[in-house]
Parts: sequence; C-alpha cells; structure tokens
Amino acid sequence: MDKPDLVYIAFIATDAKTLWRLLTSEGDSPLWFFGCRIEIGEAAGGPYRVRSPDGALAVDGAILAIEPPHRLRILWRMPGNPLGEGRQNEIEYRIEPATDGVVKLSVLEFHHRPVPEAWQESGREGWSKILSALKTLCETGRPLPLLMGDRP
Amino acid sequence: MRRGVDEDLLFRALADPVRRQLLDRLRERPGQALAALIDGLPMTRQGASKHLAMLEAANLVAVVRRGREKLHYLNPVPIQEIAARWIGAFEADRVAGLVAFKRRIEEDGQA
Repeated sequence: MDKPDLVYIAFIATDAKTLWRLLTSEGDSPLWFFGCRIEIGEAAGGPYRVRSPDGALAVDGAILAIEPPHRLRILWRMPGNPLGEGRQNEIEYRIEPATDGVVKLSVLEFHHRPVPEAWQESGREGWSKILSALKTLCETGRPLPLLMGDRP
Repeated sequence: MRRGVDEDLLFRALADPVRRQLLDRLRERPGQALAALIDGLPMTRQGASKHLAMLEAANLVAVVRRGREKLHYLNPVPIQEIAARWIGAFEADRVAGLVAFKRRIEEDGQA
C-alpha cells in the first residue's frame, strides 16, 4: 500500500454492512456530513460529489475503487475551498472487523503534494467530527447536531 | 469509543508526559516509524514500543503497516469524543472560536 499522509480511526459498535450503507447513502449523508449531501456513482470511474446545504459543490471527485462493504477510495477535489485549491487528494474509507460486534472505520488521506498545516488542522477537526457523528448515528440512531457552519 | 474500559484506557494513556510528547511529535510529522519518532529522545526502542502500544490501545495512535515498516499517526478522534461528551457539538465550536480568538489577541499583543 502507498503511504497515507493522514489517518483517522473510529471503532464503532455496528456491522460492516450498516456502516457501508450509511457511508454510501445519498439520503442519510446530511446526518453525518455537516448537513452536506453526497452524490455517489456505483462503480469505479463514477462520480463522487459533496454538496453543501446551499447546493454548492464542496467536493467534486470520482470513485477510484469501490469494494462493498469494505473499501471506498475517492479522488477528492475541493474546487471552492482556498485550502484545497488545485489539489487532488485521495480519501480512502476502510471498514474492517475489530472485536465482536465492533468494526474499525479508517479514513486514510493521501496527498499528491504536501498540504499546509491549516489543512491538517481543519482535517483533524473535520474528520474527528464526521467519524464521531457516524459512530453516534450507528450506535444510537441519533444524529449529532453538526451543522455546516460548524465545519472548520 | 465505548464508555467505561475504553475511556479509562484513554485517560491513562494521556496521563503520561512522555506519551503526550510522542503524540506532539506525531502531530508535527504524521506517519513516522519508531526509529524516526524517538530520534533525539532519551528513550529506548523497547520503552517507546510500550508507550506506543498503550496509545494504540486507547486509539490515540493509528498504525499502518507498509511492508516491514510500521507507521504511526496521531488519531484525534477519541479527543473529539471527549469534547462532545462534556462540551457538546455546538458549544465545542464556540469554545474553539474563543480559543482561536484568545490566541489571536495574544499574538497581536506580542507583535
């Protein structure tokens, strides 16, 4: 495997299929993605986009690899974000069994060139909240009250 | 992180200044192997391995294996869960705003 630049992990008391459904569901995505809605194709080469609640395109990407319910790799371009301008990062979600009834969700971030500290800071906060929201949603069925304005 | 045992692990892992220093170094340079991580620190590989094992058990350090190499990353997710527990998702952002505001003022004061 190529070397990830950043890694985020959450252990979630659920099964891989449930978590995968949540990760790839267009309708449920606002519950864990700061109110943003994802648009996702079905196969590699298909689109992967993230729209802010106001409809603006926050992430304009593509599916690089999709292996339900374990691995989703995305080309991650952020056209409107000054920190992401001109960058082509890759994000990989990975779901693996951990202990009984618990799965390990990893988000691996791959950079094609070094990112500024502000990017990393914003990522640490943003991904931590996203993973916490996914965990809460899976384990309690309730969304965390994260709004778009909360995004760092 | 489930409440109880895992949370105890988290606080125990954070309760040691050496382990906090390792987390600082991983924040500054993510994806380090053990040798690079402890370079210049008064610490044996064996001692560092034990500390890292505790940090990994608390999910504060993520490990990625690449060939024979073991790469270490700071994983901030459990810290967020602690914050959400006592501060709450909305308040956390207000506090973050206050902290940033305070830092800006302090920086201005020094300029």
